[in-house]
Amino acid sequence: MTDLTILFITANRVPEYWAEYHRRVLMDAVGNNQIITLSMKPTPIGLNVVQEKGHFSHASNPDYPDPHLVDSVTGEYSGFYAQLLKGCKIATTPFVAIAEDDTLYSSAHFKYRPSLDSLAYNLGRWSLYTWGPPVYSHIGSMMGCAGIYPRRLAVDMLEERFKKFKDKIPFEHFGELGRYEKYLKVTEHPVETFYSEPAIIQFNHDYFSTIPNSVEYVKRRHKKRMGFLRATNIPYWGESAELVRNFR
Amino acid sequence: MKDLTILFLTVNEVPAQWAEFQKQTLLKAVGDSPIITMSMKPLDWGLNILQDRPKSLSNIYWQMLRGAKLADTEFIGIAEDDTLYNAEHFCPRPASNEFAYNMCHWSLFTWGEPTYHWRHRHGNYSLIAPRVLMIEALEERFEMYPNGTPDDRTGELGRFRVEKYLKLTPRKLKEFWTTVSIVNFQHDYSMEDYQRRHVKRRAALRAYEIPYWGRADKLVENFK
Repeated sequence: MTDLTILFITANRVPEYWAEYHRRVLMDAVGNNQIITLSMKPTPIGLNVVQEKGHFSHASNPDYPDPHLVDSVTGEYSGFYAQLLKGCKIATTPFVAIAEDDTLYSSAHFKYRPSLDSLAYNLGRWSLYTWGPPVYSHIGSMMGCAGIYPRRLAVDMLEERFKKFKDKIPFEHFGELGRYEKYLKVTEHPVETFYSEPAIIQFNHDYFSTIPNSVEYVKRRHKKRMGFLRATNIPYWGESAELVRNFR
Repeated sequence: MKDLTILFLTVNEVPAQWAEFQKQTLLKAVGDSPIITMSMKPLDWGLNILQDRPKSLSNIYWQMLRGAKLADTEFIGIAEDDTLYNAEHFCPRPASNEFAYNMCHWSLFTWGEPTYHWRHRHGNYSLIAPRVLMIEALEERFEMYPNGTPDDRTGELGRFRVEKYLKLTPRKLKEFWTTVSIVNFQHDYSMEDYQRRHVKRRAALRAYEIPYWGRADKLVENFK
């Protein structure tokens, strides 16, 4: 038992081969930390909380077309941040770390702890696209998949968001804790950044919003520009051309 | 690139084979831009000017001032003797009131396991500057410090902390990124003690192979 719980959040949409590969890599990385898996389908990793009665609905804003999860019984938003809140409430450790199903983690990533009033993001994160030339690229942005939070702070921040936006969630700003508070006009909190060595790898792929996964959406996604800092072989993870083959 | 003069800075201490390799790489990158070479020993390329002050961090900026005054183009691109450049690096142009630094710069130690590494810093070797602004900033610096700035306070143009320490007018700094990186070697001939003693730490973001430059273990072999 450690001071960190990994909240593994998955909609079980990624390909099976990848899901199994990802599971093995994740289990290697988490060490003695406990895992809570929040999934759409039964997923035997750690303590599994399954949300079966959900469906994907589109945000009303066409500029932000990715679907969000809706609870089929209550009709309420039950997407990523609802799952995150649920996980934070189930966990009992002082800290939680997000693990996403399209990101490969190293154990070094899970060693960082922010101060109790701050959110932390690992900027040591390479992106790897499953389309186009297989190249690691880096943008130093703070992404949810790289977040490590004091649990109590995350609960407070998420509850404040959901209390304020009971009826209509502004999806265009409903992003990472610590990044969007000023747009949402909720309480702001400090953010820390760090670089783990080895880095973590976030895959960009076509399975996170597959309903509907129209040609138009795929085209739009595939136009996404890579980060400028690029590499084809990195410590720990090896060659990008080899690693990307696991996403199938 | 007729609007850009390359100011090449060297104290001629890097190994001869490397110096030739770096020169050939630089010449390929700069195209038809004029080059002013500011060196301690005579060089037979570019418009060669011999440095007139002893080796120091402050001397780098003094030579930049001399070079900028000799140039007649709108912009200056700095080239250092331990950095490999590609043509794309010399393409961006900052506004007339800002210094621009290329952030797509890998570092490579010539000791230890050959590994590229990156940290968020603004290196003089990646500077593209409006010439008039560079002269203005450096003249202010050397009017205030005629015998040179203290080594522990000397640093890049436009860096807030440097200008604050030196009590100079703060000037704007802009970052740009190229798709092909430049590569800065860190080595035994550096002015930085940490490099000479091999105790400098690599940054956390690392790579063994990168586009254009290839494998770190092959590229580093040129430093001899």
